Amino acid sequence: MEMQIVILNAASLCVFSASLFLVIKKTPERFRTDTATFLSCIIALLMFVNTSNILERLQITNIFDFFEDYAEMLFPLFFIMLLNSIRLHADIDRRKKTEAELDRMLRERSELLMEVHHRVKNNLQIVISILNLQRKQAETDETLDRILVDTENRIYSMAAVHEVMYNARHYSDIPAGEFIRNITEKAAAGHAWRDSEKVQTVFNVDPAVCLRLEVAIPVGMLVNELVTNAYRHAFPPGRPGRLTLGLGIEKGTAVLEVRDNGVGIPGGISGNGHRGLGMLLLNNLATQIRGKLEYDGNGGTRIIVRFPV
Amino acid sequence: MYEINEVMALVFGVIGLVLLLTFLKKGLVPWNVYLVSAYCIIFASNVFTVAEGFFLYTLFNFLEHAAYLAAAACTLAGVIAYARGRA
Repeated sequence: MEMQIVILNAASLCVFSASLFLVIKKTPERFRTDTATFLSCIIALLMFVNTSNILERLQITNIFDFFEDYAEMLFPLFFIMLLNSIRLHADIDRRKKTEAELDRMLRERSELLMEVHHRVKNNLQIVISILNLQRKQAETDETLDRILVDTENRIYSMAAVHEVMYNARHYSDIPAGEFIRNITEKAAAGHAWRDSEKVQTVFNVDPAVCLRLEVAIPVGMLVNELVTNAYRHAFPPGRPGRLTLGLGIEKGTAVLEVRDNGVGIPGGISGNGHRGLGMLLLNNLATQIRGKLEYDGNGGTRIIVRFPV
Repeated sequence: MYEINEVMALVFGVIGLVLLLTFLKKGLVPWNVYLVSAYCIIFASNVFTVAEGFFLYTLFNFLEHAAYLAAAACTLAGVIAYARGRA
């Protein structure tokens, strides 16, 4: 009987040794370090019990017999810790998988959004091209020509925002400096026939100012209207001048300033005779961004739009 | 006759078993059939160890050590399953 028990314990010892060998061999490839530690402790405890039994039955020594039950007492503790460790790693793996999936979805969404903005910009460019072609084909009519140029520039001011947005790949914060410059250059090009190359344009835009899409488009259109008005009315043909565009943040409020040293607006912006489409658009756009228009007619024209960001 | 350290090992085994079943029921620990079986077999061996002090010494003594071999087999199966990612 004693021999049978020795054989049973020896067999257990061999099987436990194989388990321990496998755990050590597969760590850290398959077993995480903490899981392997708890598993090794459990196996080592049981191996100790087997060894103690073998030594006792073979009457070699029984000094380990006293500690056998302590080993068995520790076994449940290590076992619960082992299962917790396995659960923890399963949770981490699941979370990593979810994060990877979310990341993939986010990238897909960003690509889609970028494509949409690209197409919007392309479609607006097509509209501009059609208007341009029609303008060139039309008989010379200064009023019609001006209306078409204004319309082109207004559409371009929207397209410019979309262009900057998909180039920057930021959909929530669009760098204002770039599209303000593009819109101003386009507006200036539309008035080249009025010697506007003699007008020096100075940009004083804080590069850190970024705007949301719903603010950026009205701001772009505001810039277009103000710059167009300056080119058209402030500087009579042959008169050189200086146009300054500024955008910055003051106490949490964005301040857009368009200033010229031209002839000024007789009677100010609220005066009679200044109720054209441009003025109507200015007021509507300022209201849209919850902004406030300020006018200063000293030494030219200075229009300031303050709006929350 | 029973020995106090054997009874204490059994008490710890019972506490561990209660905790294990509670955690498994609440889904707090994963259901690993081989390792849970190994635990239950070791717990059975603790019962046999105490039982052998009262009656059928030879049988329970044999069962106690046979249980160790069974637990070793379950542990090996659990380790293999885990290493293959099926646990």
